[in-house]
Amino acid sequence: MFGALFAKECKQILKSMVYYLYVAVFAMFVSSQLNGGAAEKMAEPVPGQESYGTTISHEEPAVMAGMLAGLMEETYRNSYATYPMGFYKGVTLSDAELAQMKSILEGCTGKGWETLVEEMESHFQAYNQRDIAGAMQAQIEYAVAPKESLAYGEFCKEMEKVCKLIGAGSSYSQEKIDAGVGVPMEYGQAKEEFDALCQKDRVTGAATRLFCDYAGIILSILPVFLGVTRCLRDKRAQVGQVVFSHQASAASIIGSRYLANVCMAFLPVLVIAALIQMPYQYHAKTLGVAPDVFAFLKYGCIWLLPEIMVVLAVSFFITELTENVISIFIQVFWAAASLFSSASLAGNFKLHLVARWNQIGGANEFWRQQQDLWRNRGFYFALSIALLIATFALYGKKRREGETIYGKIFKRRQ
Amino acid sequence: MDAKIEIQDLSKNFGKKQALRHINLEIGQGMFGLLGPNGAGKTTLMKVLATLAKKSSGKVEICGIPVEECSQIRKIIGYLPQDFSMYGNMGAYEALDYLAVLSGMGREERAKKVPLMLEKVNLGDQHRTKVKAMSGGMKRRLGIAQAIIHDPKVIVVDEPTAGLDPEERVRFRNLLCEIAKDRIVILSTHIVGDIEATCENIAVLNHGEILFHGTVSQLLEAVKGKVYTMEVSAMELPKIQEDYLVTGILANGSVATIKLISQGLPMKGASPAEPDVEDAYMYLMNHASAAQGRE
Repeated sequence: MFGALFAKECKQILKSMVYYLYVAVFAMFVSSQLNGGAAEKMAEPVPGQESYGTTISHEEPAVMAGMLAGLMEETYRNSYATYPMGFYKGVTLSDAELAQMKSILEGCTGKGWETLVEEMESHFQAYNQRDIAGAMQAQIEYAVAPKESLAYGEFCKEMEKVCKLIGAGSSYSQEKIDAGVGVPMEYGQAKEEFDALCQKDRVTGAATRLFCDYAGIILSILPVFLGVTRCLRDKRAQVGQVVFSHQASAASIIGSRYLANVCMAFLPVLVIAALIQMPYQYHAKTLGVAPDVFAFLKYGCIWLLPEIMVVLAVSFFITELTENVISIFIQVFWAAASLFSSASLAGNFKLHLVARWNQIGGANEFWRQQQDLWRNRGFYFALSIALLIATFALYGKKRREGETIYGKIFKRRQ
Repeated sequence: MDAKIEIQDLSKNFGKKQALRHINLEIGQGMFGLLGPNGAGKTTLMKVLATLAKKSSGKVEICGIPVEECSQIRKIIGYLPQDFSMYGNMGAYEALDYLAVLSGMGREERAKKVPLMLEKVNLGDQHRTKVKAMSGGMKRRLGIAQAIIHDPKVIVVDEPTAGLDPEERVRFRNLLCEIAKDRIVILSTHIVGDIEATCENIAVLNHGEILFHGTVSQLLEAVKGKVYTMEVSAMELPKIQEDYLVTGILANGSVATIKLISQGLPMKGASPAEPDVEDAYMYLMNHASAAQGRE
């Protein structure tokens, strides 16, 4: 029964306009973000290059210097970027607060405010600020050295004070400190990264990670439309009573609908991932590397499938519970909060719904953090199964009692 | 397994509202009519039988299986709800096939029975017609096909003829009679004509209570000798309606031929008439309202 129901659900999805919109929006979003320039960043570094890009550093002196540089720049402008609840909010301090902030900077660096400003201005003047590359390089290379006697623990405490002054969601929280800072790479580091790209990622792995980063953003929202559409279809067509009265169990009905939606939502993702991977397979061969031709499948299943599963499971559960479209709003809020609250664009996975790795390189760093990503995805996989089981129970209850839990609450309120 | 439905002291409450009050019924094989006005509790009773509503108290057994055993009951029951509908973009065949899967039927069985059922309900030629393009009558026929496709022992049909044109109604009644030969079919309706044309055993439900349970002949017996017909002027009609229970009026200019219920000869010129189920039903409902008024 399950197989036949699953096949029928897939067929119904293929007849749905919402599904084709899902595929179109996904394809457009991903192709607009991946403009094919990634292969250029996979070139082998040569000594004497102007820049080798950046890498994430967790070394205490580098973290302190990077953080203090950011704080110096923001304090100079008296404009602090914060993301409370995941959404941007600019903060401007009062004169008294600004004086406190300057005093913290002076305490951490052992230098007076005027000296710090002079050093910053002379650093940026050394680069051609009219050129984007020059401005970026100036930004990458800017660091404010802490005073020698400043212990790391003491620095963290000072950053706590900074957070209190700026407010929630600042760039100086412990989470941001733990995420590390971007530092310019040396030739040796760049070569090491390139070797890791060839040996560990076999080129296609790195490209697919970047695909997963962008795909993960849009997949944190899009599947909710499929889930809500399927769950509300019974209500719209008024077939609830007819379906309820048949022999099929709640697990068969909901399970087949859910699985069909997961498969149909994942299928275009895999196809597009495979297509995007193809040029990188060729590029790997030009580098003399045997590409990992199944990278799209491995990363797709581990990175994106749990995300699709959990978004659909949440939408199934909430829509069966409320029988309205509120799940869409919840999902958009959750996705945005996850996206903006992420401390880093590469790694620091924790329990963020959207797992970010917005760079083609950083293979060593990725493999260092891979356990965190597996844990994150494992959590969402388990959560989706738990929600699915809860949806079975909810559907069974609705079926036996003939009304929604939401309806009951609503009636009691009246 | 006994082919009967036993309902003992069944009650169903929705919050403070009592939709069914201490219902006792025994329903055997064949067509069984459940008659009552709108809001009498017919649909609630149907839903309890179809496992779509939980009873508050009492005992219900369908072919020896307690109604609490939902999955077992669903195997032996076919249900046509009051407003049957299916996904609009499905064709008749596709919709019936989908519901047959939900009834646990295998691929081969479906391939054999779906076309057969569509033929039986006169939808064979329209097996590709989308549900959204179907008339009310076609939808009901599709509904009855899905209710019987898995060969259930019991079929529960809730208000199936409401909104159908006379031709469709007659066709639907005949179809019900045909399928009731070897199973229990419960027909719930507020249209007396449907019951009169199809059922031998009936129950009348009002305000959640059973007012009558027995055969059509027994129902008619209650009103026998109390139905009269007479011609009256249009001027007299309001006064007569106040004094008697008028069950039929056939207006013809300034004169009307009326049918009324009276304990004795109502007035000069009235002649006794053969009672029909509608007269008996009206008599019963009138008595029930009078009794309620006294309470």
